Amino acid sequence: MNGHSDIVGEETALELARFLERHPAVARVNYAGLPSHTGHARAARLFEGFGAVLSFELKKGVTAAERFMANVRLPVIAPSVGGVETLLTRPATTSHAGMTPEQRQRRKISDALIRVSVGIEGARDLIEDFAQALVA
Amino acid sequence: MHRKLAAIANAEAALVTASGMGAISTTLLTVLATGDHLLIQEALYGGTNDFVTHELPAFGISYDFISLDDAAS
Repeated sequence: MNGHSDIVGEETALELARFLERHPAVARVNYAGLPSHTGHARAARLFEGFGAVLSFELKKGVTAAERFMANVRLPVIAPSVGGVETLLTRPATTSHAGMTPEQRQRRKISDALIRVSVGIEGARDLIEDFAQALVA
Repeated sequence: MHRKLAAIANAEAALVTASGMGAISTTLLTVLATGDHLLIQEALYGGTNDFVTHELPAFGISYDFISLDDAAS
């Protein structure tokens, strides 16, 4: 809109993505704002910013994902997007539960995938919370 | 509200729906008709995927998913 990005949480999303990408418990981070993302160059060319939604997988899979989601304090567990509060969900059990496991696998939506819709919380607070939940 | 939203986004017009699924299903059913074939990129919200794979065939609309990373798909 109007030549600049108005998306709330976008800068925080990039900081959070960078934090997760460096974390030893994290297997994979999907965020077009990271140079490691296959769509990074195209997104940079086409969009003003990279949005406030990202996803990631933990090395220890579904069990670790469930533990992480039980341990975070700031985010709300919900499949919606674009709220003022950060929202976490496992798409395999919510937004994409209607697809067969084979369809999900083809789209790289594993059972362990955690989707984050970043809200307006301070980046440092959010990263601190993710850090404690990842080791708890 | 439609006029104000359009002004904020520098758009000609705006249309508000009660949900994202309301928006995407209204859009698809507006431009598609029985006998049409839809090419749609595959990175979709689950509800949109279900709408394309379950509801559109009931209207006689077929589909293929294409990959945005592969122009040959």
